Amino acid sequence: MRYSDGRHMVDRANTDLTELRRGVLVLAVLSRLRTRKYGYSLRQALVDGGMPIEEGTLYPLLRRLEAQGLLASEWDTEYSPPRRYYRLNAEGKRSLASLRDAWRDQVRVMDALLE
Amino acid sequence: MNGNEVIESYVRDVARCLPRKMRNDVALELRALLGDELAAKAHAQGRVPDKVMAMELIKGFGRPAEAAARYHPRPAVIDAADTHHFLIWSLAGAVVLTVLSAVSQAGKVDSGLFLQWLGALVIVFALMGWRRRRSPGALRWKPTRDPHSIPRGLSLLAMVATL
Repeated sequence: MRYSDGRHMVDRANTDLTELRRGVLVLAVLSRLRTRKYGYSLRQALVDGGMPIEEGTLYPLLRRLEAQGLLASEWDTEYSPPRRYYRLNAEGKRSLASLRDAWRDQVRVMDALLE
Repeated sequence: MNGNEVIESYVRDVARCLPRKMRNDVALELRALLGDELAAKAHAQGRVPDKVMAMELIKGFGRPAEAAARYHPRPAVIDAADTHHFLIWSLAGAVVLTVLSAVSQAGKVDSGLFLQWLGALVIVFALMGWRRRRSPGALRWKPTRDPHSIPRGLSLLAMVATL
């Protein structure tokens, strides 16, 4: 299939933006889990904050962060079907603080580079 | 087949690609999340969830094996970084066997030898990948003295070919 140059540029811009977001995905997720959320409500919170993440990427990421010891989870059976809620644990809070500082340093570096 | 049946079928296939101990847990969560996503999509479009809508939603998750790999990543049998060398060795084996077949007195070499060669390569490369993952730093790259010298592996292959 041949695309016009305009279509190529839009595809390229979308790919670049996705790559850029991928690097801050964990930080964005941790930042929203200071209060407990389940997968869908977390995705909505990220969309509302201007950080849309594909479902297929976000939901497995929650499991991986839990396996890495950054999140705690619990099933809430008041809903049907039951929902699995996630929130930061102590290690997750420490990791969030550390990543937040690193991110702010990176922003300063990038701002200087982009001047 | 309605939207919920499509989701159920998808969740079942994803679960089949996961280790037994995490199947039920992931299936329960994925089913609920896909259900929420489908209901939200239907609500936004003012429609009843249907098969087309569910298929559209699932397209974003990829094939069941791809979705399962994101929940439980598994190492490749042959590391992507080793693909180049695997192909070179496979090709070298094919060339050697073709030459042997051409010069052998019987006029042909057992065609099963190439499959055996490929099988041996898969095992060797898989073991090397396993070793590197198990002990990072093992089998590390070392500088060579002479850029024009024949790699030790190729010398060995040449010896085998000669025999």
